[in-house]
Amino acid sequence: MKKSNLNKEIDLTLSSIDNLKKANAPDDFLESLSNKMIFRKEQKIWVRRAKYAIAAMIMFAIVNTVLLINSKSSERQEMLKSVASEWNLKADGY
Amino acid sequence: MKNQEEAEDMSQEVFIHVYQNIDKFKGESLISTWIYRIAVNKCLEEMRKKRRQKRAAYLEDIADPVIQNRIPDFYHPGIALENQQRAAILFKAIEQLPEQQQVAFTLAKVEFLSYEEISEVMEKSISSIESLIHRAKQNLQRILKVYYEKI
Repeated sequence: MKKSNLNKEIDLTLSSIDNLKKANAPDDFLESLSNKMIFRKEQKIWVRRAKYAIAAMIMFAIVNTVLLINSKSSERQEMLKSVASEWNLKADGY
Repeated sequence: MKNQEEAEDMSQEVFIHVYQNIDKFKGESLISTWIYRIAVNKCLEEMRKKRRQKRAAYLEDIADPVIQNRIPDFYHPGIALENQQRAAILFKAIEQLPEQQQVAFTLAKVEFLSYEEISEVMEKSISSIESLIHRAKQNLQRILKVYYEKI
């Protein structure tokens, strides 16, 4: 391409969108938008339910662990007491 | 966005985001500026996502930052028929610009926003917007020159 033609083509390309008109929204735009919003809302409800379920499971696991540790330590206390009374030991272990 | 479906999808995403976050609008700027800001961020997010997905194909463009001879199927209802081909080349060239230049140039040339409005949308000073658009034009000229020299 000749230099003059080249510059002309570049200018024409740069100005090709100068009189651009904005496109209108298609007829079904609002309908598909509301469908999408309904779908998202339902999806959100399920995500929230899953979050609640996971939170409940974590709480349950924590409570279980605490109960398990507590019961073990009280069992141990009971055992120590019985050994202490059997051997007539004082509270400090002597 | 490259085609009508993508553009529609993106505008719906923007509408949904605006609807869900309207309470976050503090009234410090015009609501149109706020919506433009959301639209720009959403479009950039989408573009980055696509770029990541097409990393392998994109390597071709990185290796040769000149527009490829193949111009994708393009039709913009708002552009005169005789300008469609050139507009396709121009949009392909705009894609090669750095992100900030792309945004500023598109807001000015496609959305017809003033420099002041663009500066509010992009949260930059008017002088930096002027500089971004100036550099975008220079880069576009350079890219187009290389493209037309090749064909």
